[in-house]
Amino acid sequence: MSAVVEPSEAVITQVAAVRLRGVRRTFAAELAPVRALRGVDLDIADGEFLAVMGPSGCGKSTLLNIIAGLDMVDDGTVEVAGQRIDGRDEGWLARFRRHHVGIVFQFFNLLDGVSALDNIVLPGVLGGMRRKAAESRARELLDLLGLGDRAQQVPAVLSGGQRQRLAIARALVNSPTLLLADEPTGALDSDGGIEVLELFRRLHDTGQTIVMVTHSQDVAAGADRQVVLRDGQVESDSAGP
Amino acid sequence: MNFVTAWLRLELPRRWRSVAVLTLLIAVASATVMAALAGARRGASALERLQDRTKPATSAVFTNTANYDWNRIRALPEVEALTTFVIDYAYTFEGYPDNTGGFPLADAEMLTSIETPVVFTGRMFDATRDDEVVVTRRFMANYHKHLGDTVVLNLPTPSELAEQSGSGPDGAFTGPHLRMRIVGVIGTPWLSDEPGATGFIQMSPGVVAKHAENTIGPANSKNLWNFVSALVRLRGGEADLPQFRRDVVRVSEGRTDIEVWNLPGEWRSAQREVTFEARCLLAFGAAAFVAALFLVGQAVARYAAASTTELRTMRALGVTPGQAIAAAATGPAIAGVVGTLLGVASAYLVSQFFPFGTADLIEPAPGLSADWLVFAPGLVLVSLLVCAGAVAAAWFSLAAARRNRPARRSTAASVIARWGLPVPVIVGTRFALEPGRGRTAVPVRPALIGAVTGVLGILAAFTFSHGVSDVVSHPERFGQTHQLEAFIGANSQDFLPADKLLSIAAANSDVIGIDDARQAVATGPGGSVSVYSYTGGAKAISVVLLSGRMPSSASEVALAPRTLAAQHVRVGDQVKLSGDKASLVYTVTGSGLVPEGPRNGYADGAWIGAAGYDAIFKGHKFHAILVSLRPGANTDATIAALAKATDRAVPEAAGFTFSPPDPPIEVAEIRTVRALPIVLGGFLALLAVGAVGHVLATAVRRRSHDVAVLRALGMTQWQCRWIVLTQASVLAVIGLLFGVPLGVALGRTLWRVVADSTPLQYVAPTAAWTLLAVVPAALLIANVLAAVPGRRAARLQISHILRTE
Repeated sequence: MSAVVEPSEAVITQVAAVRLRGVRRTFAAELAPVRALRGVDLDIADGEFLAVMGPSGCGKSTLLNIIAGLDMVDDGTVEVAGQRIDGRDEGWLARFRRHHVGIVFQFFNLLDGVSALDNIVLPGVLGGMRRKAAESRARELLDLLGLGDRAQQVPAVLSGGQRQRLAIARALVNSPTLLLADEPTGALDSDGGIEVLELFRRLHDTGQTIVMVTHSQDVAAGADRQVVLRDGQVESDSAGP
Repeated sequence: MNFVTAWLRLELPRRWRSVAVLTLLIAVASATVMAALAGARRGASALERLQDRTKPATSAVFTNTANYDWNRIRALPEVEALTTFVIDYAYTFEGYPDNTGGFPLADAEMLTSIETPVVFTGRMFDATRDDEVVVTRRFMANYHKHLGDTVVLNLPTPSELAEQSGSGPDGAFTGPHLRMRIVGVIGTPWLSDEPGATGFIQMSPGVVAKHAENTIGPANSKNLWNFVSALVRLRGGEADLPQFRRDVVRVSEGRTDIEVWNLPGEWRSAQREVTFEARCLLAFGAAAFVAALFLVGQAVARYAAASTTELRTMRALGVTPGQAIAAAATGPAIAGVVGTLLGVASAYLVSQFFPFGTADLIEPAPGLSADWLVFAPGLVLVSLLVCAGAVAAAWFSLAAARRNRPARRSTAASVIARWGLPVPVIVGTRFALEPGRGRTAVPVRPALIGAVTGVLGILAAFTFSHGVSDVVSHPERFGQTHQLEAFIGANSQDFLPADKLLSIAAANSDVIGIDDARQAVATGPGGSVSVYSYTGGAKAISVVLLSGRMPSSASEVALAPRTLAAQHVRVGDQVKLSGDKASLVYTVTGSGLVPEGPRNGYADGAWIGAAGYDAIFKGHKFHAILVSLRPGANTDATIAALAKATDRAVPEAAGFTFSPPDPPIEVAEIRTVRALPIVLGGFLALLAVGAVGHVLATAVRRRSHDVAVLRALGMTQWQCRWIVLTQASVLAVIGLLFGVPLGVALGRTLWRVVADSTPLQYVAPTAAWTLLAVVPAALLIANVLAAVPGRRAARLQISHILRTE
C-alpha cells in the first residue's frame, strides 16, 4: 500500500462502511502486555446503526479508535468507506478523518475557550470549507440540534446534554461517512441520554452510519444491531449468523 | 505539622531533582541580584571611603611661574596642609609610555600629612631616597610587576629640560639614569588610576631633592615649563575655598591668573561617574530580580501546583486546605532557604570582582567583601518571597479547582479567526493570547510581557550602546571638533611664529577650520575660568553649542556647562571676569564645549572673541593652534603636508608637526559602562526566552487535550507543529510591535540622561543593524523555542489523552 495515495473524499457506495479482518492490538504495560483486540472480524453496512457493548477493558474503545484511525493495528486489515486505513501514516489518517469520520466522545472533548459556533466552524474549515460556508453549516447544525441560541456561548456554560449535542454537531459538520460515538450518554443524566439517543435515531433515519460504544443495554437497544466484545473478541453479534 | 512532615518524607525522595533544580535556580538568581546590589553600593561609596582614609586635598594651585614662594600660601590661616610637586613631563621610565610617571613630588608632605595613601601591598617609599617608587594597582596588573621589581628613570640634562626634548638617540634624555625599586602599591584620590590608563609610577621626593636641576631646572633659570605647583588641604574644606581664592590673590601681589582648583568639585564629577556606574549595576540587579521573579516564580508555582494536584486526592481523605497548602509550599520553602544561603555565599565569592569601571580604580579595599546590609535582608526577603510564592501558587491552584469561571477570550484571536486563516494559525493565535481556564490554564501575560521586555531590553541596550560607540569614535561629541593641534607658546611667549603657521594651515585644502587659541585663566564670581580666544571668520572651527550662540562682540562670552553652573549664571545673564590686565562684564550668549587643555576639561572654560580676550588679558598661559579637517581627510597625510610646508616656509620651525589631540578621559569612562547595557539587554532577552519557552512548553502540556481533539477532527501532525510555531510567532510579533518602539525610546532616553549629565553633545542613537536583525532574530528564536514543544504536540498519544479526559 503506497503512502502517497491520498484519501478519497468521495464516498464509495455499495460497499461496507467498515470492514475489519483479523484485527489485533496489544498495548505494552508494566506487568504484562494487554491484548486489547485479539483478531476481530467485523463488517458494518452503509447506513447501519451499530452498538458495541461489553465489560470494561474488553476492547470497545480500542476498536472505535482503530476505526477512527486514532490508533494503529498490530495485525489485520481495516477498511473504512471503501479505503484501507491500516498502515497509513498519521497525516493520511488525519486527512481521511476530516471527510469520513465524525467522533463523539463520552466527555465531549470540546474546545474550552472557544464559542459553540467556532467549535463547529474550526473542523469545517479544517475539512476544506471556506469560513463563511463553515459558519453557515455550523448555524444550520446548531439549529437542527436545538442550540441555535447558544452559538456564541462557550461550552463551559452549557449543560451536559447541550455539550454532547454540540459535540455531535461538530462531528457532523463535514458530513462524515461514519459517525463514531464512544459512550455518548455516559456523562449525561437520563434525560440527556434520551435526548442524545433520539438525535442518533433521527440521524440514522437520514441514512447516517453510526457506530456507538456503550455499557448500557438500554442505550444499545436504540441501535439496529448490537455487537458484544469480550476479552478482545466478538462474543456475539445480533446480526450475525 | 505531622501531615506536612509525613508528606515531605514521601515527596522529597520522589521529587528531589525538582527541589535541587529549584534550589540551584534560587541560588543563581539571588547571588546575581545580591552581588549586583552589593557591588553597586560598594562602587557608589568607593570615593567617599577612599577620602575618609586619605586626607584628600581641597585644592590644587597652579601659579605657572618659577620660583613662587609657597610659604606665603602655607601660612594662610585656612590652610591645614600643603605639599608641592613639579609639573614635569620631561622624563621617561624606560620601556613605558611617556605618561606613566606621576608628577615628581617636591617635598615629603604629600603622602604624610595630605593625600596620605592607602597602601594595598608593600610599604611607602623612603622620602629621602631616589631609588624607590610606589605604583598603582593598574600598573602592577598591566605590566605584570611584583614588589621588588625595578624600573629605570631617565632624567633630562638641564639643557634638555629647557628644550623639553632629549638629545640622545630617538630623542632619549641623557641625564641621570636611576634604577628604582617598586616598594609598594598605593592609591589616593589625587594619585589614582584614570579610566583607560595603564597605571602609573610615583617616584619618591628624594628624586627632586637629589636631582633638582634635572626636574625643576637650574636655580634662577628662565623656566617656561617645569613649575612647582601645590596641593592644599583647607581646614574648612570646600567652604573655605572662596576665602582661600581671595587670600591667594592677596598674597600673590594681586595676581588673578593663578589657578585654584576646586578638588571637591572635581571629585563630584568622579562621584557622578561612579554613581552612574552604580546605577547601571543597580538597574542590572533590578532587571535580574524581575527576571528571577518570572523564572523562579514560574518554577515555584509549577512545583506547588503539581503538589496540589496530588494533594487534592488527600483532601478527599480529610486534609484541610491549610495542611494542603503547607504541604505544597514546604518543598519550595526549603529550596528557598537553602538556595538563598548558597546565593549569599556565591555573592560573597564574586564580590572580589566588584566594583568595576571607575569605582574599581578608586576602591580603597579591593577583594572579598561581605555587605551584610544587602546579604542579611536579601537572605530573609528571598526566602520569604519563595515561601509566599509557593503558598500563593498552592492557594490559587486549590481555588482554581473549586472555581468554574469561563475563560477570558481574546478579541484579537476572535478577529483573526474571522479572517479565514488556516486553522493552525487560528488555534496558535488563541493559544498565544488566551489563558484558558482550570487545568488547561496557561499564563499568557507573563510570556507576552517577557517577549516585549526581551525585545525592549535588547533594543534599548543596543541603542544605548550605539550612543556609546558614537561618542567613542567621535571626539566632537565632547566638543573636540579639531582633529589636529599644536602648542606654540606658553606664559605669553610664542616659541614659533603663530601668524606663519596659521597661514600655512589655512592654505591646506584639507583644513576647513582653524582657531588661534590663546588660553588664559580669568577669575569669575564662582572661581577660576580657563578662557579660550575664538577666531571667527570663514575658516572658524565649529563649536558644539548646547544652547545659545557663540560670542560675536568683545563683551560677549560663551561658557562651558560646568563653568556656567560654577559661576551660577545662565545664558543671557552677565558675568564679570577678571584677567591679568583688566576686568570686564560679559554677556553670556551661549553654553558650549571647549577644547581640553592642560588645566581644563572640555566642559570647564569659556570662549571669548579675540577682541574680548585682549580686553582682559595681557598675554596667554598657553598658545595653541587648533585645526579641523574636512570629513574623509587623511589625518596622517595632512600632518605630513603641513610639516613639509612648515619646513619650507618657516626654517626655524624645522621638525614642528601638528598632532591629533588625546581623546577626553570621559571617553574611557563611558567605555567602562559600555558592556553593562549589553549584559542587561542579554539578561532581559534571557527572561524573554525563559518566559516564551516556558509558556510554549506549558501550553502544549496543558492544552494537549485541545490538540488531541483537533487531531481527532483531522488535523495533521504538521498542522499541530504549526499551532505551536504560530503561537511562538505571535508572541514574537507582539514583542516586536511593542518592544521595538519602546526599546528605541528607552535607549535614547537613557542616552539623553547620560549626555546631559556627562555632558556631551546628544545625537539620537540608532542601532540600525540591531533594528534590522531584531525582527528575523526574534522570529527565529521564538520558532526555535517552539521546535521541541511543536514536536511534542505532533506526537501526542491522542487516543490515550481523549480516553483519559
